[in-house]
This record gives sequence, structure tokens and C-alpha cells, in this order.
Amino acid sequence: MHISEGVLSAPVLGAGMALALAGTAVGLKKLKEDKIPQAAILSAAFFVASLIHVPIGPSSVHLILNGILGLMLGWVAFPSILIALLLQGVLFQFGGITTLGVNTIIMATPAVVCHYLFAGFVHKPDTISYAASFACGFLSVFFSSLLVGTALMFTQESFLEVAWAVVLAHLPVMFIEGLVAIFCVGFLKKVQPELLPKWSAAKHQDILDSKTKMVEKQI
Amino acid sequence: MLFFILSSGNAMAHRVTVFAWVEGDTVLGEGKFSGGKKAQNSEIIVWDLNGKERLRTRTNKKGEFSFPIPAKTAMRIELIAGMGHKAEWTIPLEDIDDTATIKSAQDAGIPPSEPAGNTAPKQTANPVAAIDPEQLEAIVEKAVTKALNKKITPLSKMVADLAQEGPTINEILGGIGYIFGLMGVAIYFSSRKKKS
Repeated sequence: MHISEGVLSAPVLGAGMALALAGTAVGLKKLKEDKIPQAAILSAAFFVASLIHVPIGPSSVHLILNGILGLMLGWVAFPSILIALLLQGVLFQFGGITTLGVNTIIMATPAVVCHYLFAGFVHKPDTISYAASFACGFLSVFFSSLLVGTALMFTQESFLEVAWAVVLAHLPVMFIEGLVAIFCVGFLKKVQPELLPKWSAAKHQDILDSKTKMVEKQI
Repeated sequence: MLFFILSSGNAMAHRVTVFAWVEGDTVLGEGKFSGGKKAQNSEIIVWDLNGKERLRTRTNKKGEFSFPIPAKTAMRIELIAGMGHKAEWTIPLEDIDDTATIKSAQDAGIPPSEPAGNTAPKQTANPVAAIDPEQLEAIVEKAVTKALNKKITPLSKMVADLAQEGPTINEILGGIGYIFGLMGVAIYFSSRKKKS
């Protein structure tokens, strides 16, 4: 899903760059000190994830992990993904410097969207939180595919054709990403639930719930 | 549409590369995705350096392509693999110049060289005098080019493979190191903000 240099026209590249900068600015503003190491580790995971190839049938797919990254980080996904993509571009020649903005938008926007859609469900009972995690991993890749189609629409090919082709090609990854997200959330819930987003709110809710239960019992 | 379904497996790659070399009067080349997958049925567009389109072709099932040299100029070969994947390779003028002159030398050299070759064994006593130096030069040059091409083609392919190799462990670890370094910088700045 890295768009190469020289494919997109200058206005698209410029718009991508501007939007990515805006997103990064918001992300940096929201980055609290205690979240910095977490953001760095997830950024490193994103950086490496695309090198892990999972063979499926005749071709192989690689993980993207933008869903789980967005779920954990929210807006901070923008700077994390920007840095990871920059390093992938410089060190591996994936994507490129001019397309950095567009590629960041393609990866980070679905991450933020998924954060707002699903972060509230993570601390719910198991079935709901697993379903939300799966949807988060699945839909983040799906939205990214649509954005690739949108970016390419302005240059050469018609939106539906490209978007359909990219979605089709990424269908296996969507499922794998969903499963990986379930695994990550399940593991973190058992080991360190305070790392997951909206922990304080969920804890607050828990206390309220137990208090009402106590009150109910007393009555 | 069909093209996209056929090439849908390609979408997962990060990078596509194209490599081309001149052999005689044809240009041979191949396209590959990082991870070693071949760029099948991708469009190849050949431009000269003034930005004029010279010809279009497609890669075959092995990701290879070939076309005759369209003109005696440097060429920029562009490979478009769809879904935002694109790569370029430039063949400099010198490569084509060399082969073109050799070709003209061959043209000049072949017809007279055959009788010369036939007469040479008979006049073993004085072979140098039998072949005039210009013809000899042409023959030698032809033979040398042929032999060199034979030796160089696998090497060219090897270089192509090297250029298309995926990231090494050094680069991966380096990237991770950069990220953690940046984390350190971010923590440093936020801790300074706290103090002041």
C-alpha cells in the first residue's frame, strides 16, 4: 500500500503533505509524556510489521497493524506512522519522500477513525471487546484501501476499479489484522489493561457499576 | 479490470524495481517486486530523455521484457505495476553507442571475414599477411563482444538481483534504533518543559 514516487500529481501530493502535517501537529499536541514510550514501541512495530510476510496461496501478504496502533494511540498514530513511513522510505525505499504525506494519510486516518469507533468497547465484556477489536483491525485496512483508491483516482484510474482491486487484494490481510487485534487486546486485557485506551474512564465506570450493585444489594 | 485481478497478488509488495541491459541491438529487462515476486503483465513505457514516448510493451509471466532499440538515444524505461507501484531504469547513451558501433563493425566485417577465414588455414605459413588488419580487428572485436556478452549477461542479472534484494537486518535494526532515539529526544524535551 505504499504509493511509489512519480505516480501521483503534484496537487494530490501537496494536499496529502498538508493534511499529514496537520494530523501530526494534532497528534504531537495530544502526546502526553507517559505515552511517549508506548507510541515509540508501536511505531517500531508498525515499521517492522510490513516486513513480515505471511504466505497465503500463491502470493504472500504482510501485516500493516495500523488498526491496533490507532486503537491504542488515537491521534498520536499520525506522528508514529509518519516516522515509521519516513524510515521505511529512507532505509528500504518503500514508498518515497514525496509521497510520504499521502502514504501517512492512507495509513493514519483509518487508525484515528477506528480509535473513535472502537476504543470505547475495549473494556467491555470479552465478546464485545473481541468483536470490536476484530472490526478495528479489519476496517482499518479496509479504509486504507479506499484511501489508496481515492489518491489514485485523481491521476490515472477510476476510483471504483482501483478501490475494488485494492480491497480484493487486501481481503486476507483484513482477516489476519482482525485476528491479530483480538490477540493483542486479549493479551493486554489480561496482563496490563491500563495500557489500553480509555482505561481511566472504564475504571470509573466499573466503580460506578459496583457501587450501584452494592446499593442494589443493600436494598 | 482483468489486469487488476490478475495482478492483485502484487498489491502487497512495497516496492517494484525494474532492471534493463543492452544485448546486441535489443534491450532486455525484468521487473520484480521486493520479496522476489515477478512483476507479471505490467506495462513498460520507454521514453527518451527529452520526454518523448518511444514504445510501449508488457512484461511476460516471468516478469521479463525485451524490445529492439528504438533509437540511438539514452532511454528511460518505466514500469507501471498498478495500484501506485512504479519504477524506472535509465540506459545511458554509452551503452547503446557501443553496441551500435559494434553492430556497424559487424556489418562491415562479416562478409569479407568469411573468405578471410577460409583462406587463413591454407596459408598457415604467412597468415598475418593474408588478413588485412582492418578485417582482423573486426573479427576479433566481434568474437570478443560475443564472448563478453556471454559472460556479462549472468553478471548483469546478478547485479539486478542484488539491486532488488529486500532490506537487510542492519537497516531494520537501524530503523528501530532511530525510532527509539526519537523517543529519547521526545522524552528529553517533555521533561525540560516540566522543569521550567
